[in-house]
Amino acid sequence: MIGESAKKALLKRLKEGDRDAITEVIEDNQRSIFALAYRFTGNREDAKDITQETFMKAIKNIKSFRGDSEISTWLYAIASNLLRDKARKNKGFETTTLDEEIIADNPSPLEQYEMKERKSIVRKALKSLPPEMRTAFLLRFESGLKIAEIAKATGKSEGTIKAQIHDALSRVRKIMGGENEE
Amino acid sequence: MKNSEKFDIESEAIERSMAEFLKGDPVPELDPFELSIMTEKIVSETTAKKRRWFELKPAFQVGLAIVSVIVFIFALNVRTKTIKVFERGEIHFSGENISEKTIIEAVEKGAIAETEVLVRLFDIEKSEKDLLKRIYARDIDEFIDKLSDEDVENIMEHLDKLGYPRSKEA
Repeated sequence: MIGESAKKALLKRLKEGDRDAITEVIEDNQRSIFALAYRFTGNREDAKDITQETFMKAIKNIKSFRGDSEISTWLYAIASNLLRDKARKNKGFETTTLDEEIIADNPSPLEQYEMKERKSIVRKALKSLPPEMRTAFLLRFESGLKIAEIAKATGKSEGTIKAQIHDALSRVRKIMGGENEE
Repeated sequence: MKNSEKFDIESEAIERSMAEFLKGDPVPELDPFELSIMTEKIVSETTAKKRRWFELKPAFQVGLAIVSVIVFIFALNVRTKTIKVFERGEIHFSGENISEKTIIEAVEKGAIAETEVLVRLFDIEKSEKDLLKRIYARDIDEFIDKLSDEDVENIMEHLDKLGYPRSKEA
């Protein structure tokens, strides 16, 4: 996180449409926004589209951003809304075939199998979560946001977020426990 | 593992556990080329908007100045008209009695809106009058930023009618 005065200066430059400021914000935040979108959709191309749309929307509406939260939190809010809207339209996303992903890494057959299994469990767990719950879960454990920040990003109360994450954790752990018999 | 188990969702242990779990399906990264393309698209969109802003703002400013000038140097061979301006009341003028000074004073006092004079004098339709009022009322920067392409086209047509050239290079 940057200092308060640096943040204000960056925001001012963004509002003026400064190209370097826009590039700076993209570079600083693209990884985390892409990660959120990828986890949510399970699909690289969808994640890329959402990431681009997030920044486009942010730049378009920059004048309405008052700077009372971190820029990253604001971007998460935009991305969350886009993901929610997309989930409503599509009722789920198409996930990439795991085989296509693993081949590029060139591991041994056993390693491939194990990697595939682990990925499958993660994706199954995330897919089992309803969209809003999935967003809250990912913002907490993928993006590392605190409850208060997630509440701000999603427009929900902290109580609701806590309940959603608690519920999500139960479901995820159930799948983890069910798939990984020890 | 108990389903009814209560756990602290903000604890470090849970964070570590979930982070470890999610590592099982690592998130791919955008390669530098993809990132560069995406950044360029986003920045270009902003630049296009700015270009439009630079193109329109002088047009607006000159357009509004022209409106004011038209009011002030208006040739006064008009028939008697009564202009009702909402709650502002009426002013009567005719080609013999009216003078530039009268019009100027009336506009300055707010007895008549410049746009209203324009509407009446040039017989502009109500929808166009509303558009002109919006232009006057709003902060120009904010107004231009929020314009759709269709809005831009409509406004440029109005300015064409006022005799302002369609566009100037930034």
